Order: sequence, then structure tokens, then C-alpha cells
Amino acid sequence: MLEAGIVLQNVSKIYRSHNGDRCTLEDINLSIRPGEYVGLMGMNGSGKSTLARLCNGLLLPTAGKVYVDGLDTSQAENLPAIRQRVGMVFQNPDNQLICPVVEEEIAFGLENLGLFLPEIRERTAWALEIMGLTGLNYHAPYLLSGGQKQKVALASVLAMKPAYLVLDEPAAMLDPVSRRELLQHLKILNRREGMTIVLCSNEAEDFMDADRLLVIDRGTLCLQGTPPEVLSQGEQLASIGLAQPDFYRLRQQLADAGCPVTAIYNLTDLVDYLCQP
Amino acid sequence: MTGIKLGQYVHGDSLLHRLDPRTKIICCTLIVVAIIINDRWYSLLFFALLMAAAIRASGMDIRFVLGSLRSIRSLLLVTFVFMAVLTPGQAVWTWGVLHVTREGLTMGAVNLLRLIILYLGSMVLLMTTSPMQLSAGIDWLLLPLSRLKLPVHHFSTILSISFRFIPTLIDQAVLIQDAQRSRGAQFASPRLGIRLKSYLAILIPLFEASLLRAEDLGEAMDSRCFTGHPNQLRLDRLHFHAADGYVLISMLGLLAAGILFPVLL
Repeated sequence: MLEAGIVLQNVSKIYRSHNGDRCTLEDINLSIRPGEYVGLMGMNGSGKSTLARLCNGLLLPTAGKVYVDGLDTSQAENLPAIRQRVGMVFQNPDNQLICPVVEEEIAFGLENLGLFLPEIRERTAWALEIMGLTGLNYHAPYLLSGGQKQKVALASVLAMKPAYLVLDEPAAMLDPVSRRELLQHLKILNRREGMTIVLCSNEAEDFMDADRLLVIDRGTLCLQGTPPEVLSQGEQLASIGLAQPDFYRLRQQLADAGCPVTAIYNLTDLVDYLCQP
Repeated sequence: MTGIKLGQYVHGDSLLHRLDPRTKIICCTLIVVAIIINDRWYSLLFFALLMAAAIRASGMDIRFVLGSLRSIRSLLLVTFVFMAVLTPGQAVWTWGVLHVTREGLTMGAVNLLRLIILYLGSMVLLMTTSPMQLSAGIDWLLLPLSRLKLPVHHFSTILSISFRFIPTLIDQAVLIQDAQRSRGAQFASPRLGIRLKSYLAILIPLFEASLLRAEDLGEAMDSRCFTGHPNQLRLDRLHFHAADGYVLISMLGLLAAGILFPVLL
């Protein structure tokens, strides 16, 4: 019996095309434990979307194995069980909403799971409520704002009660307010519902709530640790084209100016520290 | 894009709005059958008047709907002219090798009426039935075909995706049109060639964007275990009332009369 969680063993992914093979992921070893909130940071084209899609069998590794709770993604008969466990939210909210009405959208996955009507109703209502969408049952998705669309997408995945939630740049097309709301929802889902979260993004600011942050560059994992550990390494992040959050830049500059602040990881604490008499 | 409001659901509370979508779809089908098997101009006129009455009853602006016939005027004209010229019979007017015949004129008028009835019928159906109800009705009516092992649920998914994406694609078309216009495309050029070329510059990027969209959508559907399922939540919205029964019986009565009437004459 293999361990619970999402496990990638020596995974490589090579895209073959007429103008040569392109290696997107190279020998990745990674294990995501149940209940963890994992951030995956990388530039566009670094391989994070590919990694996300390997987690629920949308893509299969060229070499190596991916296991979800011990189920091998390369076995086609495992896919329904894997996809029920691993919910995916994608970048463009417009391209992942399938049905003409919000309620049907949320029921889409449930109907596929072969649930009966009372349970479909119950779970639909629950998912709408948890995402703050109650009352929008009969709305057409295209009339909603970008942030609401992305919430519908998230609600429709949550309704399937996945153990793992993989999000591929879910906030890339959202305004700052919706982005914060979405991240807040993820935090609550992780802390309160115990849901495992894998968040892919190229914005360092998105990972403040993560337990562990992985940095991926040209198909390899190059940095790993808690968000403060990783985000403090400004030079290394800059060398692979990623920006440090403002807070960490400020901390760095304070340290350079001979005023190091240690064990402070958010802006409020920093202000308190600097303003103390 | 102008004209898209036409044929789009208008919220209302008329009898026609309240009818079960299945009743409306079946009635429309019955009318199609009735006007195909019947070629007497007076029975067709009767159906056309029936449609006009239905439009009035649904609370829609009848002048708007009739005025919208302009959008299919070239189809109507071509149908009439071809029928008038190509039907053999007693010539009433000759121009070179072309003969306009008495029979042709009658056939032209009959087919003109048929097209108008079809148009008005589909307008009534589309403008009084929300896409949500329409897809539920279609789903239910297709269900028996699943016994023949036909992929009915896939078909209803395709239909529901089209309902979902029509507005999104229109938005995208407008966006591409603006982008192309800012690069010098001339959609209002008096020269047909230039106009056509400009519209081609919308079609190709729109087509490519749709393919990319389809790819994304496929991933989203796969991620949510798509199998092609009966849409229980959707079907549960359907409610057949007494009024539906009356309307259906009357429609069947009319169809029967439409079949019998020409025989009696």
C-alpha cells in the first residue's frame, strides 16, 4: 500500500512535436500530504501547468509514476476515482463553465458521479452557500463578473467533495478584490475543511497562506521550503525571473541598512515592531 | 452585433411562457407537419393567423416580430421567384426563356406562407422559452432514443454547450472586430470585396480561438468525470399542467382537421 497524498516519482514529461522534443518536466520527485497547502511558483512556461495536469491524469508522465492515494494515474480504470479525489480549477473562468445555468454547472460533476437527485440538490446548495453564491442558482454564467465566474468554477469542483484541490493560476484573470477573496476562500477550505490545496501561480503574493512553497524553473524544482524561507531568497528568485513580494523586499532592505528584522512574517507585525517606542 | 436580441428569450408571464417547454416543442413540430402536408393557401393562412395570435397572446410586440421578417426577406424573395418561374403550367407572363406560370405563383405564395409560419413559430418558441427550459424539454423528448443506444446525453450536452457559448462567442467576435478595425479593416466599405475580406479577418481568429476554448473546455469536462449523464436536475424542472394537456389536444385536433380537410373538399 502506497502512502496517502499525491506522489510524483521520478516524473518527466516530454512534449513531442515536429520541430523537436521539448522537455517540460525533468525527474520530479514530490509528495503532497493530505491536509497540506502547497504553493507552486514559476514563470510562464516553467512547467507548473503541466505538473498540475499530471495530478489528476489529464496528462500522463513520459517517464516515472504519479500516484493519488496509491492509485496510479496511468491506469485508465483509476481515472474516475482519481478525478473525483483531485478537483481542478483552471485559469480562464469562461472556458471551464459548461452549462447555461449556474445550478446545472455545479450539478454537472455530480450528475457524472451518478448521484441521486436529493444528494445533487443538497450538495449544490452547500457549494453555492460556501462560495457565497446563494441566490444565483438560475443565473447565466456569462452574465456574472470574472470573480463570480471563478467562484462558480470553484463551487462546481467543491460540490464533488474532492480531497485535493489543484488550481492552475486561478486568479490570473481576476481583479485585485476577487483575487483576495479567492485566496481567502482557499485558506478557509484548507484550515476549516481540511482540504489539500495545490496552488499554481507566478505571483509571489498569492502564497502567503501556504504551508510549503515550491519554485519550479524550466521543469525542475529549484527551491523548496516555507513561504518565508523561499520568499526571503530575493536574488535567487530574481535570477529565474520571479519577483519577491514587497514585504520581503522591505525586510531585505532593512537588513541591508543594518536593521535586520527576524521572525516577522507579515506587514502588521513589522509596523508594530518598527513603531514600538 | 445587431439583431441578436431577435429570437432571444424575453421574460414574461403569459400562458405561452407558463406552458411546459415540451408542449411548445411538440406543438411546433405538429405545425411543421401540418404545413408540410397541407398546400391550400387558406389553411396556411389560418396557421399564419394562429401564429400571429400566439405572438399577441405571449405579450410580445407583434410589429417588432413581423418587422423582423425583413431579416429573411431575401430568402422569401428567392423562394417566391424560383417557385414562380420554375413551376411548369399555364404561363401568365413571359420574358425570354422564363415563364411565370399561374401554378408557379400559387406555389410561390404557398411556400412563402410556409416559411413565414416556420419563422414565426420558431420565434414564439424561442422568445417564450428560456434556454434552461428549452434544453430540459429537448432532453426529455430525446430520452426515448437512448433505448436505441443513441448517445442522447452527449447530444444534449452539445446542445447545452452551444446555448452556453453563443453569448461568449458573440462577445469575442465583437472584440476581434474592434481589434481588426483598429488595424484598418473596413467593415463599412462600399466595396463588397473589401467588406468580405474584413469579415474573413474576424472569422479566422474567431475559429482559432474557439478551438482553443474547446480544448480548455474538454479538460474541464474530463476533470469533472464527464461520462454523458442524464441531467436529473434539469429534467426535474419540467412540470406538465392541465393547460398543457388542453393545448396539446387542440393542436392534435387542428392537425387532424388539416389532414382531413383537403380530402373532404
